[in-house]
Amino acid sequence: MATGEARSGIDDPEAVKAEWLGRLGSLVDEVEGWARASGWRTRQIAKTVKERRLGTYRVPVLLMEKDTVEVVLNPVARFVPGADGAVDLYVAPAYDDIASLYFEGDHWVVHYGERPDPLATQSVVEITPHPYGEHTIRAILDGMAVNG
Amino acid sequence: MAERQAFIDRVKGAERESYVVAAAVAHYRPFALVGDAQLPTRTSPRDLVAAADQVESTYLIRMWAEFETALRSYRRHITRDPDDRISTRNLIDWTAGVKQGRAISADVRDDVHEVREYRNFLVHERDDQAPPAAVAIEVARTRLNTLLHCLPIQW
Repeated sequence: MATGEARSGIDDPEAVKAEWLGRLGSLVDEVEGWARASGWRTRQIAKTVKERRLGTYRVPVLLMEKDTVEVVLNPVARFVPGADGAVDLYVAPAYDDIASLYFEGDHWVVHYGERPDPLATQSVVEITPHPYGEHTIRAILDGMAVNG
Repeated sequence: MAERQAFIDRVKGAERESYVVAAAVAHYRPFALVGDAQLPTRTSPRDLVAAADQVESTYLIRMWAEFETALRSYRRHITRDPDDRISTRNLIDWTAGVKQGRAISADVRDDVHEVREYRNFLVHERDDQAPPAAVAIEVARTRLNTLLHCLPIQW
């Protein structure tokens, strides 16, 4: 598996891209299923991502809506420092941060918690990571539905 | 084809990058000012101090550029006029008046105008009029993306 920190080229960009898109597709489908089970209306759209090592490609974006709250599961990139892919979770329409999902090792990890002071030198990886799974995702979504 | 989400990402990216740069400059500053870290050739401590003071405004100007690019792209799509020269103020009002995508409230439009006025102040600082209210970059991102989120998913 190519690492997120690697600066050099990759042997088979198409294979890496296919693996990444498969990973993203599974993530989006899974989160969509959990969201629907919690009463969220969902919709998948696509957006274009450009990465130096993978070129231009399209990824799924998941829009979720419950009452007056909208949440967006938004893929960032396959190549990010310290992980093999990142996806952000935002509150729409303002796009306030909720959480970030990183693919670390062979699984997704959810980084979320109290937002640090933006000017503090704490990095997001120092926010307590939570295991990715139905319990975590539904807890985040339910919290958003209650608190906006 | 233009995509709403890509423009929103760029606005959000400007905000997040501003935090990283502000933190990096704040970390570097005390070392550089006492000579424990070297400044680049042809720069002095005053440049570092100025940079630190202007990180947020610099990124707010870039954020506005990303936002305005989105609105101009959308207007080109609707009007089919690549040579359109509408002013930014009118562009915002026009966008709010297009009945595609979600409706844009007067409050959302007016909030964006406040960001525009503050951005114009940063770029063209004038002493013949009172400065507008400052808009924090987090607030600017909220206002600009709230309007962008009302546009169609793609155009």
